[in-house]
Amino acid sequence: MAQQLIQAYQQAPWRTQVLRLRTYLLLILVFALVTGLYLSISAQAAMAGLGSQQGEWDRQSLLREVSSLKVKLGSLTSVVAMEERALKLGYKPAPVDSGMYVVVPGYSGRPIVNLAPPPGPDSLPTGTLKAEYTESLWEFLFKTINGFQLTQGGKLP
Amino acid sequence: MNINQNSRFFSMGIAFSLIGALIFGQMISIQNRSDVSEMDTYYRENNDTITMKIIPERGSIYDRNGKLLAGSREVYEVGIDLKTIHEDTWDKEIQAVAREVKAITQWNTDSLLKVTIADKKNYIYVRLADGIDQVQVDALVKRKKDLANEDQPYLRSLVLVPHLQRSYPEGSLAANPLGYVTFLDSANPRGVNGVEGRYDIYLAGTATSILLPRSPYDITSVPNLPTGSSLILTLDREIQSAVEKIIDKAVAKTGSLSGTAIVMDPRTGEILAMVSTPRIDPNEYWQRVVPELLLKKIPWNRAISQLYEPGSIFKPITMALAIEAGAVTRNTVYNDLGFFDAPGKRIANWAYAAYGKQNMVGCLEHSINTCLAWISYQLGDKKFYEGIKAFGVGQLSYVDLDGEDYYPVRQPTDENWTKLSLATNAFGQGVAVTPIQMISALSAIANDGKIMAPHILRAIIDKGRQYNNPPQVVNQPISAKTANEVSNMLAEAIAGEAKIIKIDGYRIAGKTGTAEIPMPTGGYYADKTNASFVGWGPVDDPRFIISVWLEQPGGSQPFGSIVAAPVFQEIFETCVQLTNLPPDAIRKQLLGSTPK
Repeated sequence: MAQQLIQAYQQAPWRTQVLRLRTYLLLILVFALVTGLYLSISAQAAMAGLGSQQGEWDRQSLLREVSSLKVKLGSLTSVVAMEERALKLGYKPAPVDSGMYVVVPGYSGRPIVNLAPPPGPDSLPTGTLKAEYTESLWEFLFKTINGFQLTQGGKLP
Repeated sequence: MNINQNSRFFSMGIAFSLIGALIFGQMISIQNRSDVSEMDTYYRENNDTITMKIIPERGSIYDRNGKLLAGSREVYEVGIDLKTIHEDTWDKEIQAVAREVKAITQWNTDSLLKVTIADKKNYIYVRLADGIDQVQVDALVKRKKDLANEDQPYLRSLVLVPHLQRSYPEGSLAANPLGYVTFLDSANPRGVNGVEGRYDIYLAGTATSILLPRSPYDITSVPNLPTGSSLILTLDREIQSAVEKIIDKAVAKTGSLSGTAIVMDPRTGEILAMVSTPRIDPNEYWQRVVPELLLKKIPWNRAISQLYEPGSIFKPITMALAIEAGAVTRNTVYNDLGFFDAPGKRIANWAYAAYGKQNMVGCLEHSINTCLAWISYQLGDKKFYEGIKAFGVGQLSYVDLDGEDYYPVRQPTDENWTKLSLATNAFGQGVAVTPIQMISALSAIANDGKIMAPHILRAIIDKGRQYNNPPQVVNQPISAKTANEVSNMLAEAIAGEAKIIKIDGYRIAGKTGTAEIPMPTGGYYADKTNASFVGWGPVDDPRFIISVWLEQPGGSQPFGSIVAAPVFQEIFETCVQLTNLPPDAIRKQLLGSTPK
């Protein structure tokens, strides 16, 4: 009787196999998903890294261009160039005794040139890359868990 | 599922497990092999990272009004990557690169032709040219494309590396005080002479080598190194340019060996202009310094590096010391007989002239050597030598420029000093100074007895902040009263000295000098002189002290009053005009000031 009851509730063999197969496929799917996610994140991190590197080269290039343009401006406004331009425009050097002097209230002569602000409190240099571009998934995971614990389950203590 | 099926599954499971275990075991084995470990270390060290030397941009140099005097511009280094050259076409590629680079850049590339295939083992890169501008680079790139289109890709190994190079947009303007940078040594450029040399450590910044990972996963940010500090100088490029023209003209007109001039603000010690000949365009230092200066033993900047006997422009110092010590007053009378018998030698005046009874203004006006020799004995050697030391004679002025020279004054305690030395030193013979030391000493008379530190740095810009360089008093060798007295005496003297200086509206003080030139073997040349003039104005509130020195002028009248004084006048008039300084009367009227 007991033997008969067990047999009555036993799953059909094909059902058991399908169940096992499903479980196996589910595991593979989860593994594939995690792998895919990891690859995707890694690819994005690599792209960001390359982009950052390219940005660095571009920045260097722009800085060189800025310097070159400053020198070019210096050449275009050099004493010789300005004098040539003035003479072409018909200007002539003024004789010493041709000046007329007037008092301009509030004008105290040419001020000292200031090309930068005066000394003040310095700020510490900070990195330019965000942590998202440098930390691994594990580091991100641990940091998130740690942060979760510190805030007592997402709520501030 | 029957027993057969189960056993088959079981067997396959064991087989796959064994295969998996074998693979895993082999992986462990490979990982632990010593040669694999060494190889891994080798590639990690050589390929995982690249070493990058970051040379920060060299700081810029500006004049006092913020005009750029020295900056940096983008240029290219042209090289050849030996790894990429095919061995089959080695000769063709090497010859093509050498020919094309030489044709476009004008650089000599003959040494490239000697590079052999065997060199590939030792070298991977050969530098061919540097400092190549964008136009030439564009021409090279175009040529490379053209050859590739013609199925002759012989320039594929060409490498173009951009970098910054020192550039001077004003050319040779202010070259003497600026100095230059050895930019052709792009890996280690160095400032030489002048400001570039003196402030090289600040301008250059700190070069840093960093390891950059090649893997994009390990990317790290390149440290944002600050550029070298920038400098704001006290120079005024308008005044500098004008003075350079005036000096060049004077040298050509008088046939002098060289000309030197300094314009300084005696109240602050700020150098507004510093000129000497020749001037080498710092952009071309690599072509011109050796043949034009080094081989001829000519200093880069005579104003700080060339010693000469000042002659009569030294007399105001002796006079000031004597008045300060009470040895003479402006009304003391000296009876000039045309000679003065110093111990061991009779001293005579220029052209053996005798001026009879003269007060101290007359002594300065006629520049009477015998009078000054007599004064030195009234003063005494101790006070004289202590006094000229306080004036900075025979010492460095410590102007903030690289390359300053000095020659110590013989002291009474020295073996080769005699009583005659005192008499000759009193009128500027037997002492050697540079123009910067002389103008610095005389600035005390113009500035109430105080010597301000002569300097060219007005401010330094470091990490985005501007730090100003305040004027500093170096010494006060005489009182303000004595200084003003001597200044007025000199103003009267040059007004009387055949009216050599006549600047309408401005009262000027100054002294001419016509100095003999000592021979290396002793004694003085009979036919060679140095003509000079140092003056300042306006006397009641001096804004400019100007030193002019023409070395060995030609002509029949190579005197300071004839050749140097007019140069001083022209420079002073230019300074007045460029700085909008009104004539004395108008200035006093506008400011409501009274004369000293």
